[in-house]
Amino acid sequence: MKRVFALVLVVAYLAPMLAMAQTVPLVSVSTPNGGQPPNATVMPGANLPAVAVTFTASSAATISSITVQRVGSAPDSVVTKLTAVDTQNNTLGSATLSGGTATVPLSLSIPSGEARTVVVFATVAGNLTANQGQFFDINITAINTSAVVNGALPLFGAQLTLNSGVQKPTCQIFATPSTYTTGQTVTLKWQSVDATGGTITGLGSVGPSGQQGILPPTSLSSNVQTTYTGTFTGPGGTGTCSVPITFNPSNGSFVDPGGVDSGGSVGAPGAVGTPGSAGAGTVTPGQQTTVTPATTNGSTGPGIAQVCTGLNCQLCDFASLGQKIINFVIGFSIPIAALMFAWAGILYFTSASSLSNIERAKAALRVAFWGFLIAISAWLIIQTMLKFILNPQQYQSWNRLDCSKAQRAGTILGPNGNTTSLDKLFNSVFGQNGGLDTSKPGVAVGGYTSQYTSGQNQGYVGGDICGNCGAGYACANDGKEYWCQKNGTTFDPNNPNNEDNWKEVPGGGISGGSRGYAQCMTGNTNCDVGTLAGLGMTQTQANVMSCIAVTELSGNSVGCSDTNACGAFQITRGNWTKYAPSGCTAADFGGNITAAQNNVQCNQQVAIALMNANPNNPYQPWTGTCNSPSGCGGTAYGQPWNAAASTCVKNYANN
Amino acid sequence: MNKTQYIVLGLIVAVLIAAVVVVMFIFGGLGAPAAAPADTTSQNGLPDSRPAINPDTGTSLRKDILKDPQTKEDSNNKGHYFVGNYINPAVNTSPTVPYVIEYIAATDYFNIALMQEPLGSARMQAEQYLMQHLGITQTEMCHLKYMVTTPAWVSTAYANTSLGFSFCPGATKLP
Repeated sequence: MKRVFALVLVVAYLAPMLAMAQTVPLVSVSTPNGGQPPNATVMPGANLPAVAVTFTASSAATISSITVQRVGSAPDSVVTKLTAVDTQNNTLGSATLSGGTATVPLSLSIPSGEARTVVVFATVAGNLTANQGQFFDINITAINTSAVVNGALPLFGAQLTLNSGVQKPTCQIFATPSTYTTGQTVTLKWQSVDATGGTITGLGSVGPSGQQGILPPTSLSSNVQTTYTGTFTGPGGTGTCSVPITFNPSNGSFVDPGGVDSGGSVGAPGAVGTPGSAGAGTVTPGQQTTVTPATTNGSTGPGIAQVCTGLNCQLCDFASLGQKIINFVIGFSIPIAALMFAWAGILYFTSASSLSNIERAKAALRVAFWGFLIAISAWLIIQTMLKFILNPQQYQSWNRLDCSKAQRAGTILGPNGNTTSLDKLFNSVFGQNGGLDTSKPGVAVGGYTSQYTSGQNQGYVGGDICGNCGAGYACANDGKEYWCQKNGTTFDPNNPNNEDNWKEVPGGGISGGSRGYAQCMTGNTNCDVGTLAGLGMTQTQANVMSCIAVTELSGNSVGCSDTNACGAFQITRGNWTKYAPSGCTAADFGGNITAAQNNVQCNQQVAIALMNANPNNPYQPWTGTCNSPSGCGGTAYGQPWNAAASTCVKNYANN
Repeated sequence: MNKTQYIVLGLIVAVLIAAVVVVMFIFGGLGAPAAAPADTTSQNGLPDSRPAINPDTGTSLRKDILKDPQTKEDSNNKGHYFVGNYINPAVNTSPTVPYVIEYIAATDYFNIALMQEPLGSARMQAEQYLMQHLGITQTEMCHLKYMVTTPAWVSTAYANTSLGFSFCPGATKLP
């Protein structure tokens, strides 16, 4: 009896539990297969994945909310909102931290036997100046559900470190050329990071980046340096940088009397003007300012004397002067000879029996004949010599030289890209090396004339082709590339990426900024700053978006990545469907949305619409992160779509 | 000398003078017309991509890339051309070619996008193609209005950087 009673008690005790096991759902809690979001540095206003959880239900269950806890040195106030989203990017609920915790509502129903992943995003404050370097984690500490929860809590999320974006400004100034002569314009180019503006010696207030031509002082003794110092300020403080330029006095000017071949006369020497002073003014960020230098040379129009000065005078100029004089003398000798022959003939035929007159006539004829023969012979001999001496590009014909193709200061004269021996002789005689620095191996390759003052090779106007490598470095090349090599070291071709001993040529050959700064070059109407500003973007937006276009599709107009994003700004299909204006929809392109995306005008318009849709962070569509746990094409979950785009924002929008 | 001899001598001198004058005119001498500028109008009505005079040498002319049989106009963007590798603007596939060169005729601009790693090899192929099909030297290449870059989804490290042609001043070394 006792045994029966005990069995009844056991059954009575276990029955409710067994019944509960039959009716109460069980939910397992775990970290998603892709792991927790990665640790990251957080910029002001960012919205980043902080923690994720996967619920697996053995039978249908509902998760009403989750409780999260903030840990770390950053206060609650840096997290303005916590938002839970599912894998379809549906927002499930949001909450704010209070006392270090928050309960994020979900109302998530999970069918029997299925799993659901929820990611909690943290939106941080727009101003993190006081929180630089602080960090926080968001951990899931409790699951609020009627189901039985199986699994270990808490789930630890990513460590998010705050970056206020406020850095001490850094800057660089380049001068091209680094050595100048009287009346020569020097272009100062500067760029800064984390600065709102600054000042440069002799220029006054300037923007964070830009360039300006100056006429540096010339009242200095030989080879004296002038240093231009930039002081740039920003929220993070002040940064300075400087560049020295060296004055090399001109040896005077040389007059090339052009235009005789077109019937003009030998021109008068053009006057060398007085150098003007450097201007001062304010430069808008990103805007290039061109300053027209004060008068330096005389006029150079057709038929008017052309003036070369100092380093610009070359052998061709001297030869051209001689050529013009010879042409003038030869041209003058023809009528003189004709008159002499005529005079001799008249004298002879009118001499009758006067022997003295006959002898005078004969003498006049002999003088005219030999004189003219000598003049013509001399002309032929000189022309033959010039033909062999001068560059064929300059020796146009038997009485015409064209010095417009003479390689000026710092460039190479000669058909094979080498200085001719006569040029060297000329240089040694006249004490000028034409700016050719034979001590640097890179200079002898190629040849860049002064007419290339814009575009890809902007700044390479004679002199050191590397521009300004800075102290401790020298220009180097291997016949193909130029770089700045640290003194006393050699470049290791087996380890080209080791930049300990070398660095890129500063600013040289770089259009629209160096590494991390590149923008679409002027002329690329897909995305250059001028085009974008003309479409209604602000100057800052145009600067940023021009840079972003480089990172998205290299400035091209056609092409798609593996996330169905296409065109210059790589607009996704979802965004296209949502923001494409009339004329740019798929229907407008025969139902082919890819064709619409790859139309550059439409792509620009949709990009602008996207920016307008995100007024607080117009670049977010390009700087955001992948929030799909399964990844986004080649971008892993939690990683930024385009990290380089954030650099564009930082560089050109100062945040 | 008698009178006849003087007359003959006078005639010879006159002929010599005339000959010299003629020679001076023939060899680009006095009053010779200046060379006519190069024809910059294409036969097919498209704008000519060549500069009239090469600014480097002053003599050679660049080949007209628009007349190159491998150059195709972008049907989606008038005035834009694919130089060499063609990307169909109506097909949604990632470019599988090492590089894409887009030529914008209105501004005589070449945009070179490197689409595959290794970037150094891709850039070299693009350089070789352009040099060959434009018929210009490396020095002349450096004077083109151009830009070489790569998208971030090809190389994060080199995105956002103007890479330049490898043989031009300031070019970025590539792996």
